[in-house]
Amino acid sequence: MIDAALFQHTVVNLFQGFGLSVYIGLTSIFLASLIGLGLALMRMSPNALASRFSFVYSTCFRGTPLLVQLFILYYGIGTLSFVRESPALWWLFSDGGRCAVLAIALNSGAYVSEVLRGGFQSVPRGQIEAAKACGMSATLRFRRVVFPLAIRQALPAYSNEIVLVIKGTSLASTIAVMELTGHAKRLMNQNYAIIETFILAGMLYLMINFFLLACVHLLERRLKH
Amino acid sequence: MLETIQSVLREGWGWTLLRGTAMTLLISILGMALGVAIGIAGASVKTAGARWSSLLVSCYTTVVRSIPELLIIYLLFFGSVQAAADLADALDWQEAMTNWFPALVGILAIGLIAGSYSVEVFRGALKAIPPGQIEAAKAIGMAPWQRLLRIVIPQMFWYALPGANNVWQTALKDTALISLVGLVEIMRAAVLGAAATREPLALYLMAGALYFVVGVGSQGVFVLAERHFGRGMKGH
Repeated sequence: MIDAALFQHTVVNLFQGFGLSVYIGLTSIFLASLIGLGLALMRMSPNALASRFSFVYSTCFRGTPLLVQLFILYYGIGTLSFVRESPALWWLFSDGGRCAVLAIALNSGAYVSEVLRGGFQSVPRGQIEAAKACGMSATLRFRRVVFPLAIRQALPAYSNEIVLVIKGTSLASTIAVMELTGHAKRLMNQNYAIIETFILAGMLYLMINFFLLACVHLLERRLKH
Repeated sequence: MLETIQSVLREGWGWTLLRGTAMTLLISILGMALGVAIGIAGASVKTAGARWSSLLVSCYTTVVRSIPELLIIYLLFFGSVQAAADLADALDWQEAMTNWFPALVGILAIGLIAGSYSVEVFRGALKAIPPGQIEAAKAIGMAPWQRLLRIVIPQMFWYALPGANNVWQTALKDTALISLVGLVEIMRAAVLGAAATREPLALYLMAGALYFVVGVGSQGVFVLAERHFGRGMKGH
């Protein structure tokens, strides 16, 4: 049985990492949505170069592990001399937390772009033609017809991506960012209550995921009306 | 960049990476096999088992799918490392244990994770088999094991192939995480190489390329398998 002092020690330590995990997760989700939207629009655009770039980007980022991408950004890019000489780039690549957000956002953006592309492709042609016939401009058509319909279609698959991002934040611990998994690993390594640490950390991750999924579900219901 | 990669290859890291690739393949194949076994068992329980047991399977899939893979790997590793060391001391297997313990943890972790995704894949595949075929098999007097062997299993695998391909691709990429508990697969080989040559960018780019090649290659295998097992299924 776990004793009270050890339990308290575990909880206090895990909560220190909890906030950072949520912060990395939410920032990455936000950036990944923007990147994904941009990539999906490029993929659908008549410009062959943009469309090809988006395809190659999404294939490369979905075809390699997130851990490799994170190590390339954090350990690899930092060795380039022009990155070290530019203050803005060095600010970005010298910090583990910022690198983790960047890696997760770039990776998840590739997956989100595929989800959104599916959404855009599901918009019935007739709807677009009707909007054209009403005399809507291309931007208005996108804002009022294409985008809302596509988002509604894409939301269920998008919620899977959210869970993947939250799970991905655990990799930040591999570049010495002490978030939830980093603290859990330290506690387990010190041979304190391994199973209890796992259960507590796992429950915190479940909480984050269920809360975010509930948010998406609410959004889904609101969009239906 | 190309020159750096060439000099890294001249120092012999290409071989280390290739040996790592073999280890990655071994762990993902064995892990995936365990995952498929868990998936089929879980799917059978969910379609035909008692309510409480199917609830248990749902619990397993939800929890494992929502918790970071890394946390599961750490649980398995730190949870058993002491017991494994004691066992090795008792049996005098220290060397074999240091070499293969991370691999065992990896296979178990990949199996559990791939299994949690496979349950739904195989449940969908089981449901896709038309009930009329089972009834027809019963009507011509096939025994239950004959129905399973001749009607259910061949079709189930075919219906499950596209989903299994997705699970496999994820499992392959998840093996990179096993490097963090010391298994020398592609990623760990690259980390060692990066430390020795001080060329992290080149090593990690090469590691990424290897994962990509293995992924695309296995994609091809799945396409071939789909064609092969779909020979009798042209109506679909």
